[in-house]
Amino acid sequence: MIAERFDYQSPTRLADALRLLAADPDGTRPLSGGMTLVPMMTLGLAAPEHIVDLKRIPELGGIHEEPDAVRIGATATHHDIATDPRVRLHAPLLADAAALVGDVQVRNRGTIGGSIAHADPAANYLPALLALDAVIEARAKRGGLLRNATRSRRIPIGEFFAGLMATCLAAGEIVAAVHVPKQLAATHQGAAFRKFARVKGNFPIVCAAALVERQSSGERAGCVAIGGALPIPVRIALPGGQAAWAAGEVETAIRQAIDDPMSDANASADYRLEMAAVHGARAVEAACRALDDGERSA
Amino acid sequence: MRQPVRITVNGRELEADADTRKLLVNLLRDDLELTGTHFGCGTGTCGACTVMLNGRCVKSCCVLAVDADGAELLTIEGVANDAPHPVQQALAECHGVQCGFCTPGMVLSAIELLQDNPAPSDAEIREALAGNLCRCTGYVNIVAAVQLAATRMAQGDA
Amino acid sequence: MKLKFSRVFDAPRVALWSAMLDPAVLARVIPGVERFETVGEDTYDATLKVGVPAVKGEYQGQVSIRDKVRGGDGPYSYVLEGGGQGQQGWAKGEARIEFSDAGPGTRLDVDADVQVGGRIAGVGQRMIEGVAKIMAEEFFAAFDRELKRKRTGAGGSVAFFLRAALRFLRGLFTRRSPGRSS
Repeated sequence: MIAERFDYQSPTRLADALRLLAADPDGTRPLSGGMTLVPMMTLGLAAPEHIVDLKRIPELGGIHEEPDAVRIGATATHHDIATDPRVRLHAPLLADAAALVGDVQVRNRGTIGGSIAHADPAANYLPALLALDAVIEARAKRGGLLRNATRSRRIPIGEFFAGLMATCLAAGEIVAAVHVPKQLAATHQGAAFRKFARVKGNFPIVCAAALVERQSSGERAGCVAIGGALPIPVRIALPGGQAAWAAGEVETAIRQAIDDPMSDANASADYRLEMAAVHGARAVEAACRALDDGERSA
Repeated sequence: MRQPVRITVNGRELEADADTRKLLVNLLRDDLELTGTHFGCGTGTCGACTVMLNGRCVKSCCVLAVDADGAELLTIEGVANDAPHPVQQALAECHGVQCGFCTPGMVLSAIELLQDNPAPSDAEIREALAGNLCRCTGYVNIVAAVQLAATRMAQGDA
Repeated sequence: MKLKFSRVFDAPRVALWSAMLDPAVLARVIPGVERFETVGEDTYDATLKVGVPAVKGEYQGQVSIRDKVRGGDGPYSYVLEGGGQGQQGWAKGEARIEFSDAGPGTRLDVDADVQVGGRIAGVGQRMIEGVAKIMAEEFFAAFDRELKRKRTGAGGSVAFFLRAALRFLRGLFTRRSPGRSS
């Protein structure tokens, strides 16, 4: 039983939800999967007076294929994302990241919108979306006299995270969808996601999302994004002009990009930095192997 | 504040009046007296509160009762028909139950696994049950039980 | 949890020392401070709102300053000791603050030992150090602004008025607040 009283509404229209969120932004919380908000309310760490459930709003859900991207609704669950054939085909890195969130029950309920709006630094989606150059579609009530007017804006993922568990969303603004650019075919691109956690199902100590692509000259280009090491995810471009990378040089590049690693009871700053380097390099290696396989199958 | 909640539980349509603060696990246990679903950590880690909601396992301590309005639920009480479900039977035979606190959640998670993957490897079983913590058995006999149930279900020994 | 921070300020030691011991200044620069009252010599009662945008808690606490060392050629220093309690948990700690000459300015070294307990320490354990660093950054930035205000005097008031007017105009067209999460 949750201690503090609140009212709960579950609108079916986006404009209604945004109006409710704008009415009292400090005292109102949007509810998606609830895998973060409900336990926080049970523990007394959050006590909103008003809950606005987003799950029954069609525009905020579902996975849709667009010409150049896959649009993933904010209320799409990790399970939906991990198993959708379009995500698996066009953005396998995201499907892999989603498949490793929490456990089965968490994935059946938790959503991508909730995860990235909460912006836990160790969340799987953060480095995966950063590596994929995703764009966040954010919606809010538009100020003014029209009751149902809403405004929409597109936020490049690199600008979305503002600091430790902070995003650039304004008061009353929500993540409506994530647009993930369609990736290259498996013959031209390899991807890998690695999660390093002390306990199965927990948030990772660090996680890494690597993308490697083949270039016409036979060289390869790529990046690896690291989550969990810093308050926000960081993306490291791999040295260019090469056909392959040694683990050592990837590790060095990662270490240089992480200047003040976080420290907690799970991992000291030094250990976290070391694990970021090791698992980031392993993710790159796995992405290269995936590209090798893809090229062989061409 | 209280709101009506209409849910179908184990095939029966029910209506309850729930305070918004009530969690689904409490609605099931306290209002509907379906105490097979257990309240463990209360914050979404241990999985003792696992139920199937619209065909998929969720931790009912992370679901507001009012949010379950319109949902179809399967709890442990609805798993057996005239005879125990193969997963239940196998758990008993393989000694995969000691105190029994995690068991209802384990059964439902195993049922979901076998629906998605009728011939899982041991590693896949462990992965699928990662959201259900057991303090007694060390998991070995639970995994064996799920394998046994999978074999029997594949052979049609329901 | 041991924390160390260091920052160079563009002000002589003496000015920094007196500013950091001025309750009127402290009431403005301590991050999240909502109430700051003097209850005794070098002892203060405070209410702080601390956390990340999604999880902010109100803490009531007391802060005291002791072991002041000032004068001579060596660095000035004092020890700041405090503790607070809120619905989400409690925190207590002490920090040794050292003021050393750094050219025309002063280097401030903070060496802190902090314990956090209660619910927030369990569930929020991974974020505690991050939040502490954010608070230290906010504190140093606020303090920097204080020192600039004192220096610019009348010019400072004009700049302050212009900034306030700009904020007002911006607020007419948008409604923004730092990072909201679900």
